[in-house]
Amino acid sequence: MSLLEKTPRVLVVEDDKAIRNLIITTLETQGYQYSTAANGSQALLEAASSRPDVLLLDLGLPDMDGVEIIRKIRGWSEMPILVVSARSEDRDKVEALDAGADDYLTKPFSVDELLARLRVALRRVKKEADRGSRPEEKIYRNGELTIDYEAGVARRSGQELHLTPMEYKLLCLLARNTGKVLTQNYILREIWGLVLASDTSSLRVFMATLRKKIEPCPAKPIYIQTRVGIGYRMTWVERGEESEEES
Amino acid sequence: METPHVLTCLSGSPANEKVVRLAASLAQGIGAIFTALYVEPAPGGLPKGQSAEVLQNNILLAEKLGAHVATVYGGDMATQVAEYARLSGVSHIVLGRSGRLHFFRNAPQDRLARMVPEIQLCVVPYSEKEDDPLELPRVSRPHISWPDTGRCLGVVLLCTLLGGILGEMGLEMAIIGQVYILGVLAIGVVTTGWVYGLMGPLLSALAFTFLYVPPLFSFRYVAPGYPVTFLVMLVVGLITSNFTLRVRGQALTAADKAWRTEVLLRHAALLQRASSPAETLDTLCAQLEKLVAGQVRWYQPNEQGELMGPTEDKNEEESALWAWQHRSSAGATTGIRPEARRLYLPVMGQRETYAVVGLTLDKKRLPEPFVRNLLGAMVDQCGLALEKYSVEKDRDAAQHKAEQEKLRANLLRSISHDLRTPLTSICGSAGILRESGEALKEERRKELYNDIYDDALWLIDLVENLLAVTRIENGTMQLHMEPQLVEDIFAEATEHLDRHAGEHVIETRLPEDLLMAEMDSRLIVQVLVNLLNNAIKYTPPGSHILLTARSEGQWVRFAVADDGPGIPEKERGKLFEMFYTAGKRRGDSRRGMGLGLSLCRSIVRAHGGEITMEPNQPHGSIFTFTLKRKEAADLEPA
Repeated sequence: MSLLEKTPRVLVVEDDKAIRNLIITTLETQGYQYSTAANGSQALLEAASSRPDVLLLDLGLPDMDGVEIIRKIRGWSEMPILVVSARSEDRDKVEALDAGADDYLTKPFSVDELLARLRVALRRVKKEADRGSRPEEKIYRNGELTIDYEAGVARRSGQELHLTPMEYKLLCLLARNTGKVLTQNYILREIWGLVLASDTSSLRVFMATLRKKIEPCPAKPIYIQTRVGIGYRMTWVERGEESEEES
Repeated sequence: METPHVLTCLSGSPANEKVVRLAASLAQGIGAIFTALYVEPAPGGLPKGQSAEVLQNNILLAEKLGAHVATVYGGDMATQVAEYARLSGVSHIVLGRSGRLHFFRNAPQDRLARMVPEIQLCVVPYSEKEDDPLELPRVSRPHISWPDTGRCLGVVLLCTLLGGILGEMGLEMAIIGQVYILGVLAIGVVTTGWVYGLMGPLLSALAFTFLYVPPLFSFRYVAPGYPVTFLVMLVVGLITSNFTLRVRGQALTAADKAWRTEVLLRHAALLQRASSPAETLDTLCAQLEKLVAGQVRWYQPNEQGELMGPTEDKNEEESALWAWQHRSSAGATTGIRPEARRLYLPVMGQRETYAVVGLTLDKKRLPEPFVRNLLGAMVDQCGLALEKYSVEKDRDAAQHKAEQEKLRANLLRSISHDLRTPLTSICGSAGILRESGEALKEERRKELYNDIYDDALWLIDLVENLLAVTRIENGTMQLHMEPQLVEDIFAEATEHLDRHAGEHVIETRLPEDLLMAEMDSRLIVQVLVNLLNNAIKYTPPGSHILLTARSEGQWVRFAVADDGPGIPEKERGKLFEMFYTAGKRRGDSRRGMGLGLSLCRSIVRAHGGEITMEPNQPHGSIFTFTLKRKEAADLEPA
């Protein structure tokens, strides 16, 4: 509950001064608190001492590989990590996501995009804080979507969804990681146990059919987002948000 | 001055070794090219005192001493050597000389000296016991065979019968004698070797004397001229047999030569027909297998410069490697790793060694010098053929590089030109806002902000395209192919459209569910974004843009259609060329570097598809491109 009262705190790790200025200016206008670090070791020190709510991490730092920082932080904290990268190669993003990052932004990004991603990350922190006292949740709630783990039933707006076992399994995996971008290899490994290149097409089909069943408007999905070439993400949706589009 | 060239002759004589060694040291001493010539004798075997083993050893010795071994065929030794020496620009000839006397003809070295006076002749003397390596078989080993003996006796018998009939007819004795002379000529033709050339006249003379020269049935004679007749018969017989022997020998040599020429010509034709280095080597091996009647394998270096071939025991591989590295034969019958099962010959051009062939030899013995020579010629031909490929490859690479350079230069020129305009605008606008922002009207300020924003977005767009261009055009592009749902791709592409997209009506239509195509998603999204942005750019606000995809057999056909003014017919052909922009509005207009469509084509082609443009009805344009369709594999949990 404490999170709702205080303003969220963001640690910005970025070595380029202009981009750092841009980000903190944006954060200031939105009323976020922030601290900054210009390199990897500073970032680790700052993350450990000030315990920010979200980490905004540039992958190309002068002293340390960004992925290395993610691994180190994941050793002791589950704080959301948003990766900012100038590298347009999908491989780097996938590596960062597999190391434990929640989401990524590719430079050049727009300010709106940055804020949207931050909101999603903070929503995960809030949800987890709310749930803190009762870790063993039996029912998953996200917007109009509910999953009764014990009964093995998924509903939307109270209506039971007719999912195949595979779709249900996929939905549960996404729900357990709501707010995080899951790479397709991760999903394949979790669901099928092994990864074959040919499985990717099956995954696409399962995702498409699942989305058709749970999304109110499959052409403009709000629950499951596709990151082409990377993976998928289940997003936290506020109750009643279904009608309006998430920015 | 020309490089000196030392020539020596090989023979099967033990004394030849000394000559070869001396010639080698001379060649080394004066830094000359060293050639060892083997004049193969006419059929009938090696001359007396020579053996095939010794000859083989001498050939190997010459090779080891760095000689190029050549073979010429038959005829008079001195003439052959002189001809070869003249043709290949030999400066020194090293010969052996025995103390033996030469009757009737001059010694070969003397004749040689007369034929090529411009060439230095070095004569190495050796003892009488050793045979003259230079001597051609003027008297070869006796050749006796049953068929030839039968033929010889048969002819004599026939002449006797004919003589009997003529005698009965009452003809003169001299005529019968002429019949026998005819018989002697016939024997010379139907038999081989000087033995019969001697036997024929002798038998004929004896039979004639015994049967027809009075007193009959005795070897005595009474006619005073008879010894002359006898002598004439004998001489005619000897001369005839000697002549026929030579003519036959020359005919055989000529036939061999013709066959060799034919084989080489056919070989060259086959090599020409081969379309790849591997095929060329296969052709060579097939030809060699026919020649040596044993298996032939080839080895070729791979990209990393390691020799690759059939994996066998280490010994074989190392022999092949030695042959490759040292550009010299190795393995069986050679001085290098003779314990190997095969003989390894390098296939060389002038620039490098392209491959190694391994020949399985019968009983590990070298083939006949004639075949050996042919082998060498065929391997050399193959080397030249392979060199052709290597030269072509280099030329292609150079050409490719030149094109790359040209492209890069064009790109740079175009970029630096196109970057200037938006950068000037951004820099200028930001400068005004910083210096005198307060003094400006709110409306004016907004305009400047918008300009900065627009130009920056345009730069971002340009950079994205440039990255893709360099990825594709420098040839190192590796497509990251994955099956993708077309609907996902459409969603992704429409999210990244131009800021002015809102002024147009953009519609996506997907008639099929779960349509999937194999693609590098990033690049194909880029293609769609470029096509859509183009449609937005070149059509007036309010135009309709339709994005569709449908399956077409093995393909998915994507289409971006607009109802704008369309593209004039004469400009359609150049549409996909780099740096082409519709209406040639370059210079003042910064919109469009003419990169987008060319990039789209490069990307689609790299995917194995094709991109085209056709006019829309009633007006506008439709850009379509194809990608390989992908069926979803059924997969249930393991």
